[in-house]
Amino acid sequence: MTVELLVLLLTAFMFLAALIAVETSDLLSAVICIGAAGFALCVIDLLVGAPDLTFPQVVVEVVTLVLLIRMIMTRQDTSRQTPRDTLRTAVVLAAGGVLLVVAFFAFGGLGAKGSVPPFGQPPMVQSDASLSAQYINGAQRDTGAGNAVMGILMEYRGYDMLGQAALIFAAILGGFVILRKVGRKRGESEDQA
Amino acid sequence: MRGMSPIVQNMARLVMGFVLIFGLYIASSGQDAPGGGFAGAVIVLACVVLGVLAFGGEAAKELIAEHRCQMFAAVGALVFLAVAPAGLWAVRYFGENQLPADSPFRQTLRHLGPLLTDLSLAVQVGAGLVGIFMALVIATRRAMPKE
Repeated sequence: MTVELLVLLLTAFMFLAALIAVETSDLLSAVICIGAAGFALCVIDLLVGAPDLTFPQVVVEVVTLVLLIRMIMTRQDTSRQTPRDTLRTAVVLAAGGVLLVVAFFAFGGLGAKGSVPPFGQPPMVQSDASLSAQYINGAQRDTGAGNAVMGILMEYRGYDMLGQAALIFAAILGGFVILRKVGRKRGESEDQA
Repeated sequence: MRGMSPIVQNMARLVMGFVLIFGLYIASSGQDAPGGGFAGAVIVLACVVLGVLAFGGEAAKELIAEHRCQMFAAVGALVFLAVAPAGLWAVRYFGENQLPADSPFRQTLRHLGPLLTDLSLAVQVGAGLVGIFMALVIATRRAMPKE
């Protein structure tokens, strides 16, 4: 229960930070708010016992924060200022509040009978014959990996991982294509490009 | 992008080696400890970003060529692609029953698959991210007026 409450509080904090990031007129404040939201997510990862996720999350947060701040220091802000809209902000805030309250009661907050399985007991784990139970019970024995998460990712779900690697490769190729020095224009012949 | 003050440069020189070693450790020990290829690659990228911020884009460009990054990203993807059928082949060739379960060779083989996939993922992601970052550095240098 304490973990759930902390996760909910941190989620509310992240929501608030994201809202400020969208609404503020100062780019530097927006970047810092994005960083705060990201680091709150890192704390949530640690609370629910997922250090594997925390590592890349922290590093990505630090790197993006430094890069964005550097970018803001260098570049002038030429974006157009949109006038502040109180109604829009209020609607977004109300929707977020409703979402948080529903999530709180759905997870069985304040002793309510939750419609979602208790925190940390997803339905796939509950029967002994389920796939998750087999993964969890057999991961250490079958794969010989000390880190059961990696054992499952790299051995049971190796081909899943292959698909993800292909996806990352495609994304990296796309980045290279966009950022390459010499671009080819439509209609140009090969020797001109 | 110009370099920063000598204090920052000396600190970066001190810290970069440790960051790099930590990244490689995370990438290669994902099977038995928290971490993995992707996390290790991102930490290596953090080392490169630190170097570029401290010493400037010109110094980094002498060390890291963009086309080399593209090549390593492709090599990592190919190694990952090769490990997948190699695993199938190894299972068929060595079989489940030909080797005793506790033989050291089988233990090694069992660790080799995840280690290779992890490392190839680290090479692919790391080289790709470093390459994209270097491309961004070069693009920034071209776009900015002379300081």
